[in-house]
Amino acid sequence: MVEIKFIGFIAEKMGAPGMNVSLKQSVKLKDIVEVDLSKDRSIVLINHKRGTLDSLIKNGDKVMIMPVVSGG
Amino acid sequence: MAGYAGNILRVNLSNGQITKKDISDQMKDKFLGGRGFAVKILWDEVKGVDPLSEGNKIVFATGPLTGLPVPSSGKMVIATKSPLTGGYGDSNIGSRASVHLKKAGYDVLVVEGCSRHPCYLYIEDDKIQILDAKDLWGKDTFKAQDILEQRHGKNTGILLIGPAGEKGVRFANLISQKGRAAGRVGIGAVMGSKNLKAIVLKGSREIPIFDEKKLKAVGKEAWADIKSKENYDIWTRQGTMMMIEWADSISAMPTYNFREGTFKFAKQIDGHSAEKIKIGRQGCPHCNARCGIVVRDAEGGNAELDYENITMLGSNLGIGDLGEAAALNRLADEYGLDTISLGSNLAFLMEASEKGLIDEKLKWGDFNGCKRLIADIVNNRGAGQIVYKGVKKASERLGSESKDWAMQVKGMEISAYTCQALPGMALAYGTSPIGAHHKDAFLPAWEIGDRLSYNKEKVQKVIELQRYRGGWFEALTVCRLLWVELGFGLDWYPKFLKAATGLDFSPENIDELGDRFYALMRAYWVRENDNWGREMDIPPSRWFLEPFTQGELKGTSLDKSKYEQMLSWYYELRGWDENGVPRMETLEKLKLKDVAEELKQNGRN
Repeated sequence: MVEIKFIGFIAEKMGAPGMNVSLKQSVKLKDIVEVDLSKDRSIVLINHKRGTLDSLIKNGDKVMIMPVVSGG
Repeated sequence: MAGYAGNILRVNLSNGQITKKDISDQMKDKFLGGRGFAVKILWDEVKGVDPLSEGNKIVFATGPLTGLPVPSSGKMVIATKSPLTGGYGDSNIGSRASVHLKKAGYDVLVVEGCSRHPCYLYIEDDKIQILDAKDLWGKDTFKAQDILEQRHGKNTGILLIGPAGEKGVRFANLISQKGRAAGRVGIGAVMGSKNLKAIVLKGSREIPIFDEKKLKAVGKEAWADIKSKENYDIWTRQGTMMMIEWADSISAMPTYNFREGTFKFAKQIDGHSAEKIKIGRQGCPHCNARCGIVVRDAEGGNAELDYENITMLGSNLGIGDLGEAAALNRLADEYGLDTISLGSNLAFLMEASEKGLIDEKLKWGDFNGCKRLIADIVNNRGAGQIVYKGVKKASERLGSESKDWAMQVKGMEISAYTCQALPGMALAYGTSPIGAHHKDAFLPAWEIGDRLSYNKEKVQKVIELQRYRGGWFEALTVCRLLWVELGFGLDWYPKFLKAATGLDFSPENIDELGDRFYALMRAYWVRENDNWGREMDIPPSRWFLEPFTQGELKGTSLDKSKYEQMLSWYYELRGWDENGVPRMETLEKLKLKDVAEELKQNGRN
């Protein structure tokens, strides 16, 4: 199972706060998350490391897609 | 020069003297506005004085874009020698007062001396009066705002202190419009020490503009661009409250006095929960992306929320009820207390109670206990006496190992990001020029993809952000939030400045300006602190010694020797020596030769 969490405007764009997906093999994140994201407006984290929508993900990974922010 | 009102107004409360003077072109060229004007004035005029004495001054400084028809141009910088830290202190505020000050004909107001009786200042163009404030003294900032509005009209800008400032709480702030705050560094206590309750501003003059047609056109285009951004909708619904979910997700949310980075009740206090109890919005003049979220709090009052307030008075105290955290937020605003410092001081007392270091019984999450303590802090009684001067002094009083978890740098309480797993942000806090605050540099969004590394790129990023956020935006005195939160490009600002003033500013000019501010603010700290040393740039031991015990980053803490290495790189890149003191050649290169000479005369360089 891959846990994917969406935060802020990305959750609104996706229409959900996240999704869980069971994979038979590694796939590119963009094959599961179909969203148009500009790189300088969003952050993709895979197991707390920087990734992209082109990164390969596998069962057990934790993914977060979140907006870029600059502090309250 | 167009874009400026052209004058500095000085009001001396000791002798009633009022003077107006042109701002020289040289001052505008070297310091541009806002923070630049403020630090230059404090460097020249406030030397070696007790911050709560007659010799301290408060500088209210606008910038060349303040009050002009461009986005988020309703801010000003307010600076003073801080009674909380003993060093350079400033805070910015978005308020109608900024626009009125400039329209009254003044870029800068300097308040000097000390009144013998409670007073307030009334400034309406050329009419400047020091008026009696006996009837206002003792009143909270909401009631006093109402009285002053009834007396002088709603079309005014009002800055005022509450009972906390009157009574000298070292983290008392300055409030405007029932919830807007120049929150940090204890400006309220300095106003209180001068017996100055409020400043009421009313300006009716036009601000000269270099190319008015162009400025209006580019401003209109800019406002439209802001509204078109994909996250505009959620931003205007939640403001910075959207940060709670974000910070909790990456283990950066201050929780139980910065012990942890995640909070089990985070969802109950986040932006989505705020939307459910929201009753309105507040914001700065000239902003079409207003971010102040007003809610009905647990006691039926109206509170203006943001991320810092609700985490410091919520998760950091173990309070998981948004209405309760909001009520503490409103109480702080009414008393005129900085919400960030207050949250840290209350958490310090909770931890001290837990460890049996004080008699007061106070449990995490104790809302009523917090309310009682806030009143005790303002009145300097009971356990409130312990933290009346902030957590640094409180830890010196309690002794033991309490300094390890007195969450401050340079005497100022850390704002709302815990850094056990964010070394770049820890450096940003360590080197922030007013004490630990995120205003000048915020690294988490940039470093979380490689968060446990300590490298030169992070140090360079801290400096780059300090130049833009701490230099450029603080000089223009415009809001920085539109840039990153909404993706409003940095390339807009030189266009605004050109149309407003005729000045051309290249990225190199912006870097130099920021570096000049940083060198001068640092020189101020060094000159005013006999015990200056690099340890003043190091965060508290908790982040190094106490790893997270919860969350996905359980077991993580900062590495002290690697932090020291980053700090040394920082000094090297800034041209400062190993103690963080700007080198002579650095100051000279930044056209601060006089500063270099003064530091040398004082044996500091």
